[in-house]
Amino acid sequence: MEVLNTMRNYYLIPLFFLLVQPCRASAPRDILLAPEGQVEARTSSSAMWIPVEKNVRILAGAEIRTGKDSKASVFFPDGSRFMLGNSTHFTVDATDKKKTGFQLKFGRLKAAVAGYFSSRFEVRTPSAVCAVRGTEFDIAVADNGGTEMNVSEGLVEVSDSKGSMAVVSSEEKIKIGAEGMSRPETVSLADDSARDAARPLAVRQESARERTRTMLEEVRNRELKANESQLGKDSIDAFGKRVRLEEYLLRPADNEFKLLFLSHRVDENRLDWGHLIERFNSKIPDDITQVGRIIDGMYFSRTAPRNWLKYFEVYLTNTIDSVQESIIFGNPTLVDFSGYGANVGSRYYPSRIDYRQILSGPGVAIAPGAAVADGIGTRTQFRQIQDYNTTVSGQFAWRQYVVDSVGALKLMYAVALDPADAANVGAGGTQLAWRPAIDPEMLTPQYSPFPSGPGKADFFARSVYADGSTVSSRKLLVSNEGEILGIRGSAQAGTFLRDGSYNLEMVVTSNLFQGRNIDVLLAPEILTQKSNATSAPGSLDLQ
Amino acid sequence: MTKNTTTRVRRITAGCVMSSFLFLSCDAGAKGFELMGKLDLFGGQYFFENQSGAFNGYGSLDAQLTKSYSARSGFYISAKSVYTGFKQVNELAGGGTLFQQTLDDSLGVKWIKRYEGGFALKPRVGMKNQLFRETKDEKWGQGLYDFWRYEAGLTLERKTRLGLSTPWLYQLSWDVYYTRYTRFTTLASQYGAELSAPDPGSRTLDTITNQFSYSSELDLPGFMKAHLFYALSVIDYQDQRVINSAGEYLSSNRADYYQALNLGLSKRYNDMGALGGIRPVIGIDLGLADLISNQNHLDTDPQHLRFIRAYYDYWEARLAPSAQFTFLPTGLIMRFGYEFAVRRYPERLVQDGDGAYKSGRLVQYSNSASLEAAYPLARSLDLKIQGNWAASRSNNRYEQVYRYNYESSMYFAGMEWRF
Repeated sequence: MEVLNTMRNYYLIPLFFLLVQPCRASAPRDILLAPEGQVEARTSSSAMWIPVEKNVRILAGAEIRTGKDSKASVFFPDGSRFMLGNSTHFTVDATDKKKTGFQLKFGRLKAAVAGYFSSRFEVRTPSAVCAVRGTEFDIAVADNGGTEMNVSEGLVEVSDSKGSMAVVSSEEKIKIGAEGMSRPETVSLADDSARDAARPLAVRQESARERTRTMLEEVRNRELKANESQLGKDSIDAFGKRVRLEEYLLRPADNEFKLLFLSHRVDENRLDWGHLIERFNSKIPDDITQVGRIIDGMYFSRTAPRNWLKYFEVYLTNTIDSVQESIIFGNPTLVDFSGYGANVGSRYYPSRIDYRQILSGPGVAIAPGAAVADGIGTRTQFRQIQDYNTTVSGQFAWRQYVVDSVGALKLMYAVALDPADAANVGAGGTQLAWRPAIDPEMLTPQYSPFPSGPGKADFFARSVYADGSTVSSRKLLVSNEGEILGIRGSAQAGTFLRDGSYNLEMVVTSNLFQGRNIDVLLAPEILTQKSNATSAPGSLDLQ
Repeated sequence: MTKNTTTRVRRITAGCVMSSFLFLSCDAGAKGFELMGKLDLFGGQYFFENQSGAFNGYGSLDAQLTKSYSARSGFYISAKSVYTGFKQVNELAGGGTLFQQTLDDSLGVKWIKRYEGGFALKPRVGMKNQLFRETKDEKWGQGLYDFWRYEAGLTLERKTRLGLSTPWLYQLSWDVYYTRYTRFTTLASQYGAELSAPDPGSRTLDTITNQFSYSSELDLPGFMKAHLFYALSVIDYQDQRVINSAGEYLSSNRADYYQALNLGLSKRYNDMGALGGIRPVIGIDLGLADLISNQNHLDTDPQHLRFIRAYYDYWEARLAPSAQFTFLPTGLIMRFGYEFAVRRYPERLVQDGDGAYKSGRLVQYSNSASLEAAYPLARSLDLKIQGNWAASRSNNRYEQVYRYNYESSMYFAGMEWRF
């Protein structure tokens, strides 16, 4: 609405200009003659010559002649002026808005024409018609009617009696006689009529030409900046800070690739970075675009996969503290999934998926149960092992481990699921163990998961462990402008797994990070792949 | 660059521009020197889709000091300082922020040496400094895309005639630009060694451009003007390595070839009788351009990993009619401009909304219109108002990091004083 109002006002201003115009439309069109010496004028060719001794108004039809050693000036309301030389005969043919015409029958005339007095501004001589564009020029007519014209600045269109026409430009001269016009010539630099090399109009024109050439470089500078944005290398985070992003693909081995992503906040000179590692059972193609197909083929494939993911790792750090999530995959094995529907039958699925969340940093070093090296502590905070036909024969088993009150990793929850038994699948499996005393879900006090309120893609999750340690993550979908995406309802973890037109900002904190956090912008797809590998029982997607 | 260095650089820039103005004002009255220029003071606002930037100011001081020794030789110094407190529609809005302020200072000197027969040689040197603030807490001199540009050029000019009727001025120019982004180095070059990152180069935006151009101006009978401009630019990136399909950075640097051809025609028509006399000038411009680059692109997004050869190559066509009306009784000048442009990237694949690549190639259509009115309040003082609107449409639907489909507009109004 504000835009509309502003635009409406903006369009009113030119309208105002148009409306006020008629007030000044009746501006005087008087032409004044100022004599110097012996100057005579008459109102028409049949009238008597009258000496002119002071400034007078002249009208169409008037004729003026100057005597020897005399001159006269003609002033126009638009600032134009003629200087009539001695022994000159000059007539005013027309002074209306469409056409203003004069005749120089003989003598000399020096003109500076602003060009606004009328549409066509012409000076006739016995041999030429000179149409003026906005010009300084002088004309001399000899007794035989021959005309010589010098254009100091600007352009004059000259026609002769033979029908030829030439545009004469700055520092050019032309002769027109009864036999027609000569070719216009550039005046010699030694000639008095040559103008200064760096005179204002010439400099103005030269500056304009230079601007045209330099504009290409200006546009290139803008495009370089735009390209950085197009490639997602420059963004604003949810907290209004400019973030520079770079991602690199590395191939440490022929069965592995690594994506390195760096986030740098210029204002704080702060670097957060991370990597994604995917290691496969055998060589992957040089064309990394085919990797997605390999990963898709290791879940629920009807045929034995030829290659599969062996190791997946996401590592995030603020260069001091870090969180690492890793998954080790077992070889694909044939599983009877008929409990999900008779038509599903047997499919290949990883025999084991071992997920760990590991914290490290100087603050972790003083936490119980941490392994310490060079002042940096490392501790596994959470682990989930999913296996098939190992813990429970012919069934999947999920076991979740968390740190207990002394920082030791202990079994918290276990469940088994028979994928061939529809009733068991429907019930979400069979619970084998649960220790609520160390379950973060039981230990974590209530908190608001929506820091920006409902309707915004801003989700906060927090876990408190039995030893008092905490781990929390905040996920936000933000535009390049740093604006948080508006959504229907409230954000959930799944909100951030969708591909979309926003950046994913992830802020990880822990009370073991001594007040620091890890704040990275990354591709949502990294989370999607992790989510696929750590699905909870009953949520396996067989569609 | 350290804070002290940045401060020093800013002081030097401000000092250069200020001292040139002091020089101008002190010596303008001296024999042979002429000072001219203009001062613009405007306020304006920028709109992007349904968002609006804050109302802010625009100030520009553009001055030239000329000195002629004779008809054969002379020189002029040009200095320009511009502050823009709001974004403009030609700023490639889809890629940036709504908030943007720029400070732009430039200084140049050009020598003019004329010879008999209409020949002239015009060597020049100059420099320019552009500073950006793109977030509200970013300080001047701390902008990521702040740059210095050092430039030099040589123009050979000939003023002659085409046949009997038409004056013809043509110029052959060579211009060289060295652009250095003082604060932009890749993160990999700063931190990559300890992370085993590849080496994409450090100052990947720094360039040296050699531009060769030809321009022609013709003053045709019937109050018509025609111009032609052609430029070939060879752009050498000083430290941006070429990437291959395996994500490896090669030893060769990026190099682009850019050519542009512009043709224009304008005609002044006889005055119309309405409103006490209106003088129309109608014009049309046609532009063609293409860019060929040896640089490729690897999209490292895990879901859409894709190598795109010749990612930056494009060709572009542009058509821009314009009209100017001078209302003779008041001196009011109104200008209308419209431009339609199409840019096609022959190798860049389009993406759908979630980023998946499709087989089509990216095409961008843009329309823009401008309206300007200048009303003379006094002999050298104009009241000016300008509005611009632009729309961009593309077959690319992936807009996670850059907007390809949008509308933007801006207006500004204020005073211009010419001296």
